[in-house]
Amino acid sequence: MFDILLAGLDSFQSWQVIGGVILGTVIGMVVGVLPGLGPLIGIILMLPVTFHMQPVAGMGMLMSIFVAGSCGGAISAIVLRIPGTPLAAATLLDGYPMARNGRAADAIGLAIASSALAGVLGGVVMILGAPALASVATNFGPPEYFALAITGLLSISVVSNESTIKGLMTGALGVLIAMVGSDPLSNAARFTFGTNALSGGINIVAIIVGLFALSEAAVQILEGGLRKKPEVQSVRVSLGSLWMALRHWKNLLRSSAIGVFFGALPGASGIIASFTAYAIARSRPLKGDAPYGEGAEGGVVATESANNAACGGAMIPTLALAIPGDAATAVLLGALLLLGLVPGPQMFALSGDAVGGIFLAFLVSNIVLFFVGMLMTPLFVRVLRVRKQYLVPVVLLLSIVGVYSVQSRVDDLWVMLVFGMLGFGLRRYGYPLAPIVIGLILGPIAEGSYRRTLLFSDNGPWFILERPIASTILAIDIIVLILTLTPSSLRQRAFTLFRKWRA
Amino acid sequence: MLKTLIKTAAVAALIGPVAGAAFAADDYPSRNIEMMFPWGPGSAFAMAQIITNAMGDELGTNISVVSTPGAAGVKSFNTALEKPADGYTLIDGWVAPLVLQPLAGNTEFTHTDFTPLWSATRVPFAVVVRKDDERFPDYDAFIQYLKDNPGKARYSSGSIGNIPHMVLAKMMQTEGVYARNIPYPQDGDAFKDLRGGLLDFSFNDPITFQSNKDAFKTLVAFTNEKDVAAAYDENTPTLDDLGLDIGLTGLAPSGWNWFLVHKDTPEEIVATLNTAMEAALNRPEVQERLKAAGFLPTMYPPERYEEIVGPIGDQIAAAKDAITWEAEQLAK
Amino acid sequence: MTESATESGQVSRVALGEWLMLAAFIALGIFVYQQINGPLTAQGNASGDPVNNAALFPRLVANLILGLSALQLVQLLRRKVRLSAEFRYKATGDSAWRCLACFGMLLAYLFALPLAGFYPATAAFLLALVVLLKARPIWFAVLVAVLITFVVGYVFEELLRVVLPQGRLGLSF
Repeated sequence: MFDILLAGLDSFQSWQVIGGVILGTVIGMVVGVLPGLGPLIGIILMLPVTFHMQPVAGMGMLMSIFVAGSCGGAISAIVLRIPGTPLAAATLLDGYPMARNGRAADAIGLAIASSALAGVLGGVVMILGAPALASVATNFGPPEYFALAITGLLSISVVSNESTIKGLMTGALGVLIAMVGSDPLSNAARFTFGTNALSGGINIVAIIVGLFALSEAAVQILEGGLRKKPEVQSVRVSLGSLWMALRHWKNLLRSSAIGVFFGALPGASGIIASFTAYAIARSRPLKGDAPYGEGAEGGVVATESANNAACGGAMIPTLALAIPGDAATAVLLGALLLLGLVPGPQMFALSGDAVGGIFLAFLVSNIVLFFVGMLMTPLFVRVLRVRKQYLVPVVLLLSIVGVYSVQSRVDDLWVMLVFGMLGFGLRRYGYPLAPIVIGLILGPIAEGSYRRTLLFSDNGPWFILERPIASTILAIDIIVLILTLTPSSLRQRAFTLFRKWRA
Repeated sequence: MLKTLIKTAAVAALIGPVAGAAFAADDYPSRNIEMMFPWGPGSAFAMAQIITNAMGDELGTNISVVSTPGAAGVKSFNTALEKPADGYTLIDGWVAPLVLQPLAGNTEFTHTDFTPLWSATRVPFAVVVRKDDERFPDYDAFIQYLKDNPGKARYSSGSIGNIPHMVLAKMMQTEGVYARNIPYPQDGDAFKDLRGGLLDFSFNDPITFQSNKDAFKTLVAFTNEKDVAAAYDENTPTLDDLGLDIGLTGLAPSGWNWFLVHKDTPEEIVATLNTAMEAALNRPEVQERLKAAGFLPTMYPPERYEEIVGPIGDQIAAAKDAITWEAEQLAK
Repeated sequence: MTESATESGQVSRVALGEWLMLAAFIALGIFVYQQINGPLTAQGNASGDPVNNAALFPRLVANLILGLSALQLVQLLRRKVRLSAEFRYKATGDSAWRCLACFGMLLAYLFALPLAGFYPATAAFLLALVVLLKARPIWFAVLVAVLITFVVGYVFEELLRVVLPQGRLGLSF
């Protein structure tokens, strides 16, 4: 590791590189915070600028956008209860209650500190273990992906608090919504009513912004107090959140490991990682922390460390095999090619100075994220002091323009409106929204990998049992499912019986 | 301020439609231009940005590339066609939505409904297998294996019914063999499962091959030109090397794109765009970057659009039946 | 907001909306079946091998939704529903009307956007919205609306280089 980084030190030490990383971090924060935009849009917008920069500076800037953009969404989730990016949908669960309890600055600080720490961990894993981890990823075929998708879907029962039935219903709704359009396997039109407008599917960003942002606007107006100036204590820049995050070190390490793992599997993403990490963290609460769902620090630490560790993870198959896991890394791969670097195992072996410089830039971007984030936190908290009568219209407008700019389609705004009304109706009657996001992301993975499993198999779904990794994951899922479904009294009795039997 | 705004708006609304058309060509381009891109963002997206960035330089404006994936690329074409034909919306015309989808009856447009600018790039496809797969030392052994095990082998062309699927199915039909195509909406997942040993063979593009050279080897590249096949490596045989005629020649068996605008775009604006695109494509750094990423510049001028795309359409119309043929064989 | 929760989280009367939501989910399940037996069967994609059978998974999900709906029905009959925590307050009729009006304006804005273009449509939309949300005096509301429109327009057009809707009436600024 060190020889690569040392080789890169020369090409890293230039003002253009450091400036690129800082600029990228700020841009990443901004696109992350704005609803609708996300790291992908930030990278796309800045890619042409990098054509005129030296390779390490250009890649450094783009990767900083990736890193900071993956974290920025948490801030709007905490402050406005609107996930700035789909990645932050899980952060909302405890981040917003924290802010409601008057701990907005702590929540933001915690999100940024966990992101930065986990980002560095993810980066170290990427540099040390990319070729090895990439070859592990190639052992994950459709049966394994199906098993993992089921694992992710199980987290629905955890994130929907007491209303598990309603949560599973909205989760299934998410899976169905993702099916609208051409079936990715057969190209058959599904649920399109024969229209062109629906044949390409429904834009997921429009759905999520509609569900969360529009319904939140409605809730805010209904609550009244439009002209009241909210009383929020102003906060000063402090580094204390780093210690606050480190208090959750077990959670941080575990969630980072989950993040790197899911990140390294092409197609799985930070979203599954953050929901899974949240579900696991929730089952092991830290003493003295608030209950989960009501502003637990652990909830923010788990989701934010998972989705930022996933950044490093996602770079692994991208750099080692030229197989990007999602759209953002696909564009990063394109950028790498344009800068004249061909990904592949040889990239790590060569340890050229450009490669080392890029790795170094990735690590440093996480550290820069921490400092830039800390400096900007007071600014974000100030947003809470804006009167609703101005805040609601501005957030609405930003959501609209953000959604429009993703695909340049007015149709998407109609989608947003429809889902806004749907989101409000669901919230009104206690149907949780987070499972819809899980369903939207995992539905297509579960469906595609299940049908592909059947295609590889000579004996239907039983093919999964021939695959040790897949069957192990599914077995664990079944145990977890049984444990969640059985009442705790019964579980207790079974446990005592088991102990007696052992004695 | 509002009054002025309303006044301006009212005046503009009255004279706008008349004045707009007259002024349009003179001061073109007076604002940002956008280009609709039919796939999800990735390498091809970055290549589009390389060209449009240089074009924007020439025109003195900014061209943003907007990815509108869906419906095999057709969604992006429809989005572009809904916008005014004022030269502020360009289309990255990849072959699948431009030629293949109209032939499949999935569109209301054909390739003649656009005004061409310059052609952009091509990506030659190849058949790859694992290097250590002893069943497939070369192309002939590969075909023999498929003959001995009809319908047993599994491969992927990415999505079902795309250009690589058509090319591979046509090749197998020509040889009288067939196999099972496993669809992967993300090509990368297919390459991963080829590496992992689940798939027997797969299509490939030059850059994925370069990055997986330690594990993959090519059996044939779908081109007649030796220097195009060299985008993989020197040992990659062309169709001619194998004496193979699959009824697809020239650009037809590869992925390619041609920049387009709406048919009703004013002539002067098309001329301005063409001058800019020609200059952009001729920049050495643009050429260099496209080639380094495995996207070979084709450099066909607008005048040759009909002469080149027309015959490709005929070849594709004939070849796409191979996909139906493959499905029939598998159903037997 | 008619229902009230008892200590145990059970409600004395299940709100009409709960029944409507459940009915909507059941209708969704039936709709999926209708789509499978209608358009998908007509396309020939409701059966066959796993590539061709686009109905395989929707059928599973529809069954899941219908099964969960049955469970939810039992919950409602036993009056075991919880009030959503964020709605445990009484919204005034005034706020409800205001909220509805906002959605109406959003609707009007979406119609106006492709016709009038970003700047005029957005300024008018924002002005209407802030005035509706009780921003006074009016001149200040106008100032805010116009200012925000131009700032957002500048950020997206110049810094983020997005092509905003131009409008078909030939308005341009």
